[in-house]
Amino acid sequence: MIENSHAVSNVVFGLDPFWVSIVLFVSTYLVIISDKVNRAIVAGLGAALMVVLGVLNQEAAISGIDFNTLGLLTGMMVIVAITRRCGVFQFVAIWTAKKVAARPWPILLMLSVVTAVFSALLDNVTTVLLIVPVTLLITGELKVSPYPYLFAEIISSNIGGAATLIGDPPNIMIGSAAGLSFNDFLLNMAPVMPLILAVTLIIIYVIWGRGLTATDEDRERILSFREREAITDIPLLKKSMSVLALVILSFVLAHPLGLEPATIALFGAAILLLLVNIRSRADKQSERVHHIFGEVEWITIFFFVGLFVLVHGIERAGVLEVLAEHMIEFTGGEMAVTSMTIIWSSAIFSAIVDNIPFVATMIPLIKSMAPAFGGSEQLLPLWWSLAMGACLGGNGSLVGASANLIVAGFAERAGHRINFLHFMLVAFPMMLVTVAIASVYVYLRYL
Amino acid sequence: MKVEDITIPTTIATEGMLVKDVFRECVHAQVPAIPYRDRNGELEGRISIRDTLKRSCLPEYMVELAYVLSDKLTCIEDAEAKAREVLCQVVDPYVIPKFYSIKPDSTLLRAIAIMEKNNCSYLFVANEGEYLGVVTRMAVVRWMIEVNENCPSDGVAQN
Repeated sequence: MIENSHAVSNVVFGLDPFWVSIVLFVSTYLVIISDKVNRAIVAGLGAALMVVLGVLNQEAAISGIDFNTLGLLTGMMVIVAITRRCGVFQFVAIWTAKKVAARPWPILLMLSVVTAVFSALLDNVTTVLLIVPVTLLITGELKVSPYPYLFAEIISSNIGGAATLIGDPPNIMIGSAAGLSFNDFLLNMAPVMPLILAVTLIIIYVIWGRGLTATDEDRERILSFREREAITDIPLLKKSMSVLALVILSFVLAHPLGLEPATIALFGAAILLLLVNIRSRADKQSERVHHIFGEVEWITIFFFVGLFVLVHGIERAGVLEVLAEHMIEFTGGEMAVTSMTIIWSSAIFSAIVDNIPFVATMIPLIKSMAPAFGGSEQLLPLWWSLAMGACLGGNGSLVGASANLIVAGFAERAGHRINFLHFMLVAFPMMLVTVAIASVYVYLRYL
Repeated sequence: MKVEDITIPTTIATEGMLVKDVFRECVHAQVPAIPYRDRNGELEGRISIRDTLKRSCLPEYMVELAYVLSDKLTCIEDAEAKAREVLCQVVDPYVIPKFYSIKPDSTLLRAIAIMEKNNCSYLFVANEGEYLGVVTRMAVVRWMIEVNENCPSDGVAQN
């Protein structure tokens, strides 16, 4: 065991903080995985116990919380909560379906691409919440099974989300911890995603694509949809699109502007809130702001807070340092082996359990490998491996990512149940193929 | 004025009853819902027109895309058949367990306050387990108009 000078010595009953933190951490993660209690409650309770039992004091616990991640997540959630109300995303989805003359396979292709692009710019959960209703309506009218479409959208949302800093929570965490910018993700993660998406769509075509047919009469129904009616508020559309475009432009220019992503997202959120409220009465403003804040996923935010404290607890107790040493021992200190170990282990873990706790744990673990690899600048391949493994791994099963469960829930309520094993039977091997492509990319580009 | 003065008496839905019969009772009494009694004679829940329509013919995605829907949907073309299918089902799957009730001697103000609090437009009127009928927001307004036929300066808008 490592003697850690930072570890707080006043653990209850004089117990060793190393073991107390491990027991707390493992039991919290087991309860999270069991899915019996809301994850925000479990993480919050685990974090509080880290402090109450004396592994961390309150000051240390707060210092472990990554406010850049929280700020970026919250800011983007507010922007998306306002923007989605104008209906532009549904307009685009229906418009693209009509552009391909409502033919079933091209519709699947278009909806997948739209899902991937939206997921890269918004977040996966919001994207699928907007696209799935359109999909169910279209497939119902075309009289084709919605399953291949929903399957393709799940896969596309996770691939699209992997492409940018703001596309998936693991990327936000990694970006913040490693100091990687929006452009870094765009230049390093995004280039391989079109290839990965294309390969998955080819597989989907081979499995289902040839069987997707519709009569002219059924296609005519899709062509009669009034996509323009989806846009319910044109002033809101103009305001939200302008702010979203400015926020993304600011992410691109963040370095010369000297701004952190969280500042940009929160600033954008504040500007958009101002624009949508500026001419309203004070009571109306309060009501609207209250409603918009209600749409922020506070469960996710508080889950993150709890996780950050938990991970900081085991980090300060020296657990992650020991784990990092073992990992380097296992990989022989070889960057290529370590990188491949990270990409594959994160993919497999993320397919089985929530990728957020896994990434939260891996971040300090990777950071503590810096001395072995000659400094934190040398860790880049490991960061990209973690991001690719965690994001793409989410495609391996229905529980691999929040968006997957959202699609499954929506489909089930519409009478189209997605079976866990049936999904995994195709999704897991497909995930392995995508991770293999990502591994080759990482190897060729960075190792 | 008490709730009992404007209570609309209705029948109670029972196990195995058809949606058609419940809807007919609602339309006849002009109420949005009636209570449901289980086989043990207990008031177990309610059947509402809104919820039954929502669950039988309005999938979530259609509500989400309400403005986009065209006149050429399959379900519109088969509207009569779909309506028959819904009406001829038994009501049991459409029972909502939760319902709000009020005592007959309550004031109308209390009734509309409870409706507002629970975001609903009707309450079941019951006295110690005995069901008496439904009080609706519409019935309250009807009473308001009936007792105030003329405004002090009829024809002149009041501020």
